[in-house]
Amino acid sequence: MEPDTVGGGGETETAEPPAEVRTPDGDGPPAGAGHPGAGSPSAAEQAASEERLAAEGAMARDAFAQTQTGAEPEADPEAIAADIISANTTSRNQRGGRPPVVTVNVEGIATDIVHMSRTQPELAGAVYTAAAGQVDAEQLEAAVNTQLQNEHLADASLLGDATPEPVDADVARAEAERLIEAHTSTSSTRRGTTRSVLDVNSMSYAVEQLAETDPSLAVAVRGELTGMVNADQAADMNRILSGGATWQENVEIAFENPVDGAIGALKGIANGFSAVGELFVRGSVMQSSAEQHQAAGWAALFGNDEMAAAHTELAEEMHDLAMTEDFVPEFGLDNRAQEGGETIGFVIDVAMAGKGIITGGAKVLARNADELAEAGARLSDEALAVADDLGDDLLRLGDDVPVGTHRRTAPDPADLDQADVDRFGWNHEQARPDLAEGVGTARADAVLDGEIRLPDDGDLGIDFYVGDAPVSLKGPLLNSATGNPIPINDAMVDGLANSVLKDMRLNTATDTIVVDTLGMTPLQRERLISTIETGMEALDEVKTVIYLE
Amino acid sequence: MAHSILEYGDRHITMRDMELTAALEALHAAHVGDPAPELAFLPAFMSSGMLHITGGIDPEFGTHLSSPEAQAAFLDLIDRTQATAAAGDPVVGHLAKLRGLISGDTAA
Repeated sequence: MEPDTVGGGGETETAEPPAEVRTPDGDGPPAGAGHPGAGSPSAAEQAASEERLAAEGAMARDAFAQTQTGAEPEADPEAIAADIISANTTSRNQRGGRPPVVTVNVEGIATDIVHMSRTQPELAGAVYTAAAGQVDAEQLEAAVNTQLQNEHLADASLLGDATPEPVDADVARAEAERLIEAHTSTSSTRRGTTRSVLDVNSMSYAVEQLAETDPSLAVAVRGELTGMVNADQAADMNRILSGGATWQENVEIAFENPVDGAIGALKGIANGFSAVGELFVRGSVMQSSAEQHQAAGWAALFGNDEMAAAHTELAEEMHDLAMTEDFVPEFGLDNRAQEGGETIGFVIDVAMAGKGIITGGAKVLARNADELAEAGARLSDEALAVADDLGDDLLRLGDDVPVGTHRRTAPDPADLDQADVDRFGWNHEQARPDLAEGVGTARADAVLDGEIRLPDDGDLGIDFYVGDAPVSLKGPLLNSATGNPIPINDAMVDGLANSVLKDMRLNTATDTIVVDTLGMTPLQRERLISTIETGMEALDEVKTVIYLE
Repeated sequence: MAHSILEYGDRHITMRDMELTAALEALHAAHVGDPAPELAFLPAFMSSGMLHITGGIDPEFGTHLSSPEAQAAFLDLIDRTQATAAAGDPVVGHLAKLRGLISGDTAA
């Protein structure tokens, strides 16, 4: 099952009464019907459960997971396996009458079966066997193993070097209930229903924080939580706790914990993301213009009070380090909030370097505090926009899609299908492919939603179509005859940026430009993007730009 | 089929990268055989990475032809290259597009 969006951690939408996560035996709401020790549900409970589940039609798999905790002994594993597979199968129609693309989410199937195994191990085993006969058995086994390994790794991570100690089960259960309640938000919808959202990411971070003071209790709480929340939420939590949090999830935690987030950002800079780091660790904190801008950016992100607290805490840590001539700062990151803060600091740093603020030394862009704050806020917005758009979802193009700027990570050329490269780069006149544009088009194909087709000879100015959307391709900077990398200098980066701006000004045949930055250093990439964005400000009409990294 | 946009003064044309590259390579070969001082920039341009900017060949190329002497030498080079091209060679057509851009004579 794909992880939920950052911070979302899984949503349920129900009719009144509000949806509730499952709770332990005998306590709280009846959603845990059939939980071990609870016995068979009463008729009234069963009716209530059925009514609630009927309202959760859209969340079929979650409903399934709940009903299965109260399954009859004679439940049909084959039918259950079929239901699980169906709930984890999607079908996407294609253009041109071609058969739909059917995708089976084996990880989702594994998640459901592992979740079931906690309450009904025998039935889960039979369902696993049945499912293995209908999907790729090796993939399913690997996915189940990953789920189980994550639980093991999560406990090992929480425990650290500590020796496990006995924990009162009631205490662990109560703490788990408290965490669920503390990290669940409830709101009413326009249809009169109640929407409850458990923020798995922040709840997981709370478990991590608990582990710092009482690792054994944290391990026990993790076990309780795994049985209380739904399958997807449990899988997400165990993935995060086993060290598998994404950087986006860490950034989310950094914002929720601004002091640690700011510390992480400062540590990241001090650890050498930019020349500012050296000034910083030598005590010239926030004195140059560039540093002030950076401080303004952070303050806008984390808040001035939090920044002050971060400086104080970090100063104490710095005090223990020798400030010698060859001092090399190396701050460790203590938690995920600091890791997220480091990422934020890096993004701001790169964004500013790309604008020449840092690389240009003491270039003064702001003349007073208001301008400084405004500049900081603007940089923060841009940094967040960059961070927000570093997703991996396919981009859809078309007349109904608003103009925007996107960044996507495209496959390495070695991972591309050479037949695609040759086909996309083929030139009839020369009777050979231009491998540079073949690589660029094949990389674009990997991040765009829809089929790529090449234009007719008469379609001047159009490099390829995605569906019906005409697209311009700029870059990559490769040897077009061999496809091999070439040395890239700033003049070439600027030339590529100018060609993008020229295309916006003069080429009316396309609405989208794919810019392949393959082979560029991070600074060259940011220089390119900065030059393009600055140039776009002077244009009356701009196009959607997709940067491939 | 990547395209590059070439600008010269207030004029511009769009050419496919491979066609533009073929035209520039033909011009370069003719220039090496009979170099013109006004076009001394050409070998450096051809050996730079500028030809490898997919969809972006010609950054600042036109600025090298800003003087009337350079413009005339470039048009002469195009004429010489076209005259020695094999019959039916498509590069003749590509050179004609370049000529039209530089000379302003779109009928060329």
